[in-house]
Amino acid sequence: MSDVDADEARKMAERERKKEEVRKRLEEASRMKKAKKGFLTPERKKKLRKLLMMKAAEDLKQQQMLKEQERQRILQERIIPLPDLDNEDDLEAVYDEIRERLIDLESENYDVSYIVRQKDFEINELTIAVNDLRGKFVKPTLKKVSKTEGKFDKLKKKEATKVDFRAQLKVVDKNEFALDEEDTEKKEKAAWAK
Amino acid sequence: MRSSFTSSYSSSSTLNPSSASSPLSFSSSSSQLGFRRSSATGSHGLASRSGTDYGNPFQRDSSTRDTLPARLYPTRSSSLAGRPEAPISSRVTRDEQTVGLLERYGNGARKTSVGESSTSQYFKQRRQQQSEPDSGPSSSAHGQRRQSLEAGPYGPSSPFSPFGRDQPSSSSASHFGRDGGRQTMADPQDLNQNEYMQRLLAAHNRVDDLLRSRGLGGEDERKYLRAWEEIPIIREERYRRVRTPSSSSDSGLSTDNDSDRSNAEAAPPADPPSVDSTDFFSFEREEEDIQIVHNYIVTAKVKAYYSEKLKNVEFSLDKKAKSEKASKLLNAPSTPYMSHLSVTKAKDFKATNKNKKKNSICDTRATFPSETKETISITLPAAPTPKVLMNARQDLKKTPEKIIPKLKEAMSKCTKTLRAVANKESIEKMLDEPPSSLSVSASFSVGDMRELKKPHLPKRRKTYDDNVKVQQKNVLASLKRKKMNVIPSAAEISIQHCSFYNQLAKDNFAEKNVRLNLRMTERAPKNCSTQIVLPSPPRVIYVRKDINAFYTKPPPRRTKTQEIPKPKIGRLNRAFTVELEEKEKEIRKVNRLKIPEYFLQSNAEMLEDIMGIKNGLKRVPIIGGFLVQPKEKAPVQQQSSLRRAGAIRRKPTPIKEEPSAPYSDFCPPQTPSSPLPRIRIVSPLEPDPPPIPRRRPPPASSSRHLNLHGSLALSAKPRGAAKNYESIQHQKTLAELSETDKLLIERFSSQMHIPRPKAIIRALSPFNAIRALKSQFKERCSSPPARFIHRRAPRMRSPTPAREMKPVRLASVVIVKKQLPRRHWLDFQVDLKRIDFDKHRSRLKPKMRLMRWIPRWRRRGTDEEVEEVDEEEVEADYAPSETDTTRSDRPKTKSFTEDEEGLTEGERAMAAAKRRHEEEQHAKLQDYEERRRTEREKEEEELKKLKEKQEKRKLEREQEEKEMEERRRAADDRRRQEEEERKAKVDQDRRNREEEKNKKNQLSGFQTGGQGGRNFTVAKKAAQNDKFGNIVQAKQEMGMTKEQQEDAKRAFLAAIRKEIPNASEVPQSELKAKIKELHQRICKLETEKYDLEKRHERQEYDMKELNERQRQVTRNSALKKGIDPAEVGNTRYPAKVQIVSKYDRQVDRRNFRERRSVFDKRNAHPCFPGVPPPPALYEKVVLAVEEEVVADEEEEE
Repeated sequence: MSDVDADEARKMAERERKKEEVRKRLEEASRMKKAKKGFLTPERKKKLRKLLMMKAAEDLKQQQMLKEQERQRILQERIIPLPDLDNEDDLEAVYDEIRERLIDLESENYDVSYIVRQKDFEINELTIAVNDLRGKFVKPTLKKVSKTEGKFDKLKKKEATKVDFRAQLKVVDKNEFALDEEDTEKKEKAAWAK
Repeated sequence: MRSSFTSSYSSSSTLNPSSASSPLSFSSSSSQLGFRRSSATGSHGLASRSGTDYGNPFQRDSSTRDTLPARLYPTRSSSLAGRPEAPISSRVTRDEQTVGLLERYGNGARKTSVGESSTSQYFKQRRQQQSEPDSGPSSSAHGQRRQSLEAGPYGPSSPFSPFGRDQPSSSSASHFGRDGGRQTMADPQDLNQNEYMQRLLAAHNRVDDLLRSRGLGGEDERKYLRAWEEIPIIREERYRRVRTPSSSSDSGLSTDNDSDRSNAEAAPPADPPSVDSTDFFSFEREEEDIQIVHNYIVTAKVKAYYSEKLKNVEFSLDKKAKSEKASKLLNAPSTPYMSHLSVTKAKDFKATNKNKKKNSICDTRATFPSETKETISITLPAAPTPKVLMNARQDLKKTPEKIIPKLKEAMSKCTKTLRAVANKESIEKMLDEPPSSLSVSASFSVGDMRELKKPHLPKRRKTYDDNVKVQQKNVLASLKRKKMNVIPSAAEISIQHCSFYNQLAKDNFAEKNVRLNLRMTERAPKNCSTQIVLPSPPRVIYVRKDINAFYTKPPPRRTKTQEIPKPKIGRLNRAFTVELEEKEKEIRKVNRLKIPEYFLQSNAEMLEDIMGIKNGLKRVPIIGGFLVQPKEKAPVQQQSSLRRAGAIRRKPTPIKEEPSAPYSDFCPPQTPSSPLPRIRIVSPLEPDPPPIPRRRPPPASSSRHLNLHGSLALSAKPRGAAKNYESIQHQKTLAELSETDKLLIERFSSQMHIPRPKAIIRALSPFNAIRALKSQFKERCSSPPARFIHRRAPRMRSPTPAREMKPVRLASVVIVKKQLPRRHWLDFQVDLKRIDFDKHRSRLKPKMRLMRWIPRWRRRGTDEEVEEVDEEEVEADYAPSETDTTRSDRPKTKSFTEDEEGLTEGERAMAAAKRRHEEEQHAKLQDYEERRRTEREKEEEELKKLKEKQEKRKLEREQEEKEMEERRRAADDRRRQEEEERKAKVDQDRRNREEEKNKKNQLSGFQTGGQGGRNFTVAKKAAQNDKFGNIVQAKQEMGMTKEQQEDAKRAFLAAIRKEIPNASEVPQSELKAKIKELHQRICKLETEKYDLEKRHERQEYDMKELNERQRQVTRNSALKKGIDPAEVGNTRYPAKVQIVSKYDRQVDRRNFRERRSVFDKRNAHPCFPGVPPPPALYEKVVLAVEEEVVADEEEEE
């Protein structure tokens, strides 16, 4: 009977602890929220954002620099420097060594390329599978259409309508010309009559 | 009669002033009676005549009671009242008469104008009275007063009767009253007009009251008026009716006057000066009362006189007279009119018998309606007075004819009439219309008088005709004219009766005249009313109907008279039909009889033959006996003879039926016809017996043959010939029928023929009949066998079998001929053989022909078959003989040559012929052999040719085969060469391509090395392409096996080595350059290698992430589906489907203790068999186990 009571007491104690922990976390979260609300203003947010972005960029640059340094280092290690050709007499031996080296590299390179090729294939398949499972639709790239262009088109149409009116005006002009010609004919007649 | 005449004279002398009016009264009474009789006759007929006496008073009462006629009556009464006034005025003063007339004419004109207005006024007043209930009691009050007045006169009438006996006192009183009335009338003439109007109104009121009491009203009048189709007629009628009610009022006044008069007589002595108006009325009434008193007195006197006469008659006549008297007496007191009737009847009794009485009654009735018509005419012309005058003239004109033979009193009447005529002439001038009416009336009157005088029957007919004619004319003419036509007839009749009644009525002129006038008017209007009320079409209908009735009655009588002959005609026709039927029956019987006659005759003849002369002799006396008996019995016992005949004939009928079934139908009809011919048979048989036997045999013979054929045909099978015979027999019968058109001839012929066999049969009936039957049976038995014989005969006699018989003989002849040549040949072996060939051939041909023509030979083929067999044998024999001949011909020829020396010429010829034949045969054989040789040769040649051809063909085939083989070889060689060439070309092309490729590769390599910048650009493009290319290559490589991959690598490396030359090949001058190039290449490869390695690392990282991501996705989906995510996580394949639960089919390997522990403790292990416990709990479990063990041990302890 004493053992049973002890176990129950332990369980109760553990429960209480968990509860206390949860309470603490909640209190802290609430405190943080309150503090953030009061602490961060939109201006401050902007500044922080800028700073963070600046830092990220710097980090990226550093990483790149590091990678390049490692790359160069490794290549120097691997690549054997050329001997002085002028001094050495056994060019043929050098030539042979270099030839063999080259062939070996070619074989290694072939193997590596093969492996990489296979991995690419697998990756492609997995990406396809994941997308299919999720049922995502790949958004196509839409062309950007300017609203202003539409407006200009409308204006052009209006101008075209205006042009039509001008055509009518031209007709009027023709009549005027006709009248002038008639006047000239009359003048000529008058002259002949004279 | 003398006493009556004396009494009449005395009466006339006593009452001279009333004589003028007396004829009118008599005429009116007669007219009334006529109407009654006419109506009665029309309605009832002859029977009604006896009842007329009783019917008359009832009719009068009904007439008085009727509403419409009552209205009409008062007009007449008023008119009648006018008439006595006129003569009174004339008698007193002429000037006064003229004044009155003028006043009347002036009044008439005024009345016409006033009448129109008056009519409207009256209708208005009546309407007011009807509408106003107050007026009712006033009118009723007036009615009561009148009733009281009416009741009064009956009381005083009784006292007046004793006064009536005192004639002078009454006459004096009447005269005084009349004078007084006249004086009073003259003074208030102007006032009288107003009084008349008032009286009319009062009269109308009374009439309305009466109608109401009877259930009628003024409206009825309107309905009647509306019924009229013609408007103007209605108007006239209205005027008339307006007058008629005035007349009715007068009639009412008359009754009232009687009462008033009685009161007045009492009143004037009491209070004459007190009431002026009452005094005036009283005066008028007094005048009327006076007139009435006179009438009553007259009636009393008349009754006394007549009673005396009747008493005298009673003594003379029997019971009938008594009954008549009783009836008369009863009727007399009710009304004075009956007295007149009694008078007439008394005269009839004295004058003529009962029949005459009836005739007289008819005459009197006819006369009455005419008088009534006169009254009518008087009423109508109240406005047009001239009409009245015209009527009076007519009456007067007629009267003088009768008056001339009669006494002086008539002369006085004539004088009076002349005076009236003078006045009338003046009136005629004024009016033109009357003359047309006069002419019409005259014609009718004349016809009526003549007809009346004629005998009774024609009178009756004429009377009907007259009525019909009158009615027709009335219908044709307008209403007015109709009345005019009616009036003159009345006038005419009145005149005739005037004469008689004048004589009779002379004693009682004054009294009788006055009363009769009043009552007569009632009857006349009935007819008028009836005519008026009915529209024109129904009137026409009634008239025509009456005519038809009268005409129809005589037609049935005529039909009856005609019917008497008609049924006779029918009977005659029936007799004719019966006769015809008998004739037809006889004809049919004759047709039937004729045939059996033949049979009977045939039977009789057979019997005669059988019996012989003796029987014939015996028959003769028997026949005589039968003949004698029917002569005696025929007239009395015809039926008995018929029966005997039937009995006799009945017996033979079965006999006949058996042999002649078809004729059985004829037997029964023969029996009914038999009696007639038997009667006739008696007379002709006596003279005929000697010629009969002579005539009998020839027809018997003919009949026998015919009958036999008929019987044979019927009994045996019918044939065309038999049918023809039958038809001939029928034709004969038809011809006989046609010839015998006359019945008598047929009867005689039938009778003549029939009795002969019948008589014979009678004689033979008891004994000979039986013999006849036996003979008939024998004949029947004999007939069939004869037929059979005849049937068989024709087959034997037919021509066809004759033909068949002949060839048999021919065949036998042929056989005989064949035998002879064999014998000859046997004698001469060689000669026979040679000849036999030809002969056999020739013989065989005709034999065959015979077989074809005569098939019957085959039926008897036994002989023929034998012959054939012989021929075959012969042929068989010949066959070896031919061979022998061929072999032996040569030696035979030699023998012939040897024999020729000894033989005769014939033999030589024969030998020569043989030689020739042999030579011919040899020649033929040679020819045949030659031909065969030629044929064989030809055949052999053909065979050779064929063989040669075959050989050639074989050779050609071999050659062709060789050529084909060569060609094939050549073709094969060409193909091989071509193939080789193609292969060579292909190889060359390949080599060239490889060389080109190598060249290009080399060039490409140099270029790449030379141009560093371009190399980069190319690489970039390649790199971009490589991504996709890598994937494609990867797919390709996936399919490849490891070996294939190794091979590919080796090939790659080999190629590279080849590209790079060896040191020996490269010159030393160029070694340095080469070394440098190779070094650069190494550097490049190193860089590429490094890049690939890094890429590989990155790919590994990506793979890890993707795999993890995929696991999460699958896990989530599994959770959604309810599957354990652990199973799904690591595999690419879809999750497994759980078919069976994990906890099924688990083996429980726990011990009892372990099981028990589970129930004892919660955390006992294991909870489930397959589930491992958590590691932490394991430690605890150990402790628990120890405790349990302790507890168990304690329990055990």
